[in-house]
Amino acid sequence: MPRHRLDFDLAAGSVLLVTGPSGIGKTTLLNIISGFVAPISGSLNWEDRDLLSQPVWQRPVSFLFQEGNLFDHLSCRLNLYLGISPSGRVSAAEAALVMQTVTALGCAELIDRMPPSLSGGQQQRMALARALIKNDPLILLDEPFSALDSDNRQQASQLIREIAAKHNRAVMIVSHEREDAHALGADTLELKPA
Amino acid sequence: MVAGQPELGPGRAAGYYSWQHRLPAASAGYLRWAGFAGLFFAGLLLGIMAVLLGALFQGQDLSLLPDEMLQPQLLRLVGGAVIQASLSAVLSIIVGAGCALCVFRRGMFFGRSALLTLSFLAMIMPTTVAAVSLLSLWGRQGAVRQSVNSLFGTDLLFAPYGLFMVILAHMFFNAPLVMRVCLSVLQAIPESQMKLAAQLRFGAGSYLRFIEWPAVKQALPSLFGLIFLLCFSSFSLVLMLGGGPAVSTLEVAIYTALRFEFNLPRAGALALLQLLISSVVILSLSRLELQSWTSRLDAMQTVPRSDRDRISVKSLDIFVVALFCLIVVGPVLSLILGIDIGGGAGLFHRPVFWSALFSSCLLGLTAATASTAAALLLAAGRCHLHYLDHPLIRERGAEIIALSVSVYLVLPAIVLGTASFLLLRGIADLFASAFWLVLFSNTLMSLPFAARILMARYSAVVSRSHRLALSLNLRGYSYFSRIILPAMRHEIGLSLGLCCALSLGDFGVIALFGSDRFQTLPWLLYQYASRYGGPEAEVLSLLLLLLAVALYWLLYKSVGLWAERGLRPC
Repeated sequence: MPRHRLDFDLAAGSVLLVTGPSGIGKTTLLNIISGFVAPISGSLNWEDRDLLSQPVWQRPVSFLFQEGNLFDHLSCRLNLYLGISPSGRVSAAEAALVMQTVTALGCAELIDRMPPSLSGGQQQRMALARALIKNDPLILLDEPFSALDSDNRQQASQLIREIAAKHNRAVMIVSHEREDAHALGADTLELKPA
Repeated sequence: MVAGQPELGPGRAAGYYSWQHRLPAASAGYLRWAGFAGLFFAGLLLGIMAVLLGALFQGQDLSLLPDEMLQPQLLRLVGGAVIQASLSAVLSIIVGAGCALCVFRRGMFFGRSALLTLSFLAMIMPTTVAAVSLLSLWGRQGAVRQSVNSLFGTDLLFAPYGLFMVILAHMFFNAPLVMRVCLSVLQAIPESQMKLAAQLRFGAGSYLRFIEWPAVKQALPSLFGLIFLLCFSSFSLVLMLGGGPAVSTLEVAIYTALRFEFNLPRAGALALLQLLISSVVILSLSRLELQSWTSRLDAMQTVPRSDRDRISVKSLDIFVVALFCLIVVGPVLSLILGIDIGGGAGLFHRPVFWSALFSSCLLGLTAATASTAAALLLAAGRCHLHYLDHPLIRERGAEIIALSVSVYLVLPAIVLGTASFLLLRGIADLFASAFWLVLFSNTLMSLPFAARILMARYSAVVSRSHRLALSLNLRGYSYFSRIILPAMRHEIGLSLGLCCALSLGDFGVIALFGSDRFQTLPWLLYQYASRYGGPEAEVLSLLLLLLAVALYWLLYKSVGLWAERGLRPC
């Protein structure tokens, strides 16, 4: 089992790009932060809160996986409502907040469609909208550009930069490409074989 | 464009498609042979079915059939059977699906493997053994009834024979089926969805509403149809636990007409009615895909869940799993714990027991081998027809092969026995030929199960391996023995074991043709349970159960070892 020692800080409003060769443990790092994998040792804190002692559902984290970020059999609207309440029931004010967020992300007209009818990029925007609505201060993105062409990659980078800056979120992105750091205005954390 | 790759423009699309199906000339001979052999065998099976159907119509005055079928007594019987089958199906689904949801939610827990193993045991348990086991728990002298009597001073439970008992018996067999199917469906939910739910702080209600129910509900219509059909055409359980004509099925009515009244036209008419209703259900089922119930269930979701540790959810899970165990595991435990071996030891001094034991083992092993070999041939036929370059043969051939298997699902054993009886009564001494009739029936009855296990896997193995095998010059028997057989050892073993257990415990055709000259263990058990009861029936039940499990395990494991030996260098 590979072991790595990592020590880094992440500020609200910043973007951190995690790069490194395949199999080095980039996704595992995100899984540890979100609580799906337990580290052998160490500590993990967010604003003086010890995250390692908290289960997944209590951590202030939104994790966007490479795929499968939306429930395919539920409409996008219900997918977004689930970010506010696990029962899927929201108040009028909360529904308005949802509309405001998807409008800001340029996907308001897609909100009543089913996820499989959207392109990969549109699905990613919907998932990002839910992460924003969920209001978690830390957003983890696992290879968000892997299925995008260069134009869409550019747009997505800009969107992530805006999300971090405007909404004061810390964003951590796993990517193979070190060049993405420039487009994102991000710091880089490079994982190397021990 | 990469050199050597076909350009996939519109003008080349057709050529590319045919390239996918056309095989190098070197392999075509063997594959064509296998395809046509399968097709020929399917035709033979359909021919047998046609002859059997003809026998049912033979001697019938067709103009009288509608009157015969619309008799109030018969309509009452069919109505009662429909109610019984519907209740059995609904309750089996509630208990089985409920248990699957709880097992899925709990992930790994103490006793999980045992629960899953025992749920499979119900699938291979002979129906006659199940009836005796159920009586040992719920019957007049059963542990539950005795406890209730001593607790309340009076019998508060349902009658020991009748509708409730039949429904309970059907739940004993079908709730595990539902549980296994639903659990395999739940375990196929993508891990990303479970991770998403954990992040979104789902509670038990949200998990059920947004993730589990949408997955499980797809499997329910086909499960309901299948269980309805099985319970509607149930024979031995209704015969042994129904308690009389008030609770009956068409199968039991056919048996009575043939064995006790010797009313051949009525038996034929009832068989036709049974065939008609089964065909309607099967046709409706054909639009629905039934999930596999033989999938391995070892793998499980490891994503943490927020609802797992809540006391109310834990209590619900314990209650549902305990209810499932009471229905499915309780009767078997009751039989084992309450058995009086000393009292039943007289069984071993009866020559009829040893004769029945020998016949049953021979029947089980022969029928399992025959149905698995037949299913393999059909699987090879269907798969290799797909690679032929003739679209008409490819498509129609696949349909014929599929029909040749599914057609035997609509033919319950008693109907098959009746048709054989009507067909052969003037030609052969049916009671002297009982072994062959039972073997023939058991082979055909287990064929749909064997085909279901083998066909999909065979196609998957061939589609993954045939090009590589050709490049290594592995063809014909070498390809079959070195590539297909080892890759299918799990399925072949499962098919052999399952067919053997089904055949060993079958109490269908033997009920019609069993006599002093030829007996099987289920037939003997029925005689003991209905006439003498007591310890001998219980000892025989346990022996039959152990035999079914032992043969299933032996065949399942031995095929694996044999196939692995085949992989060793010569």
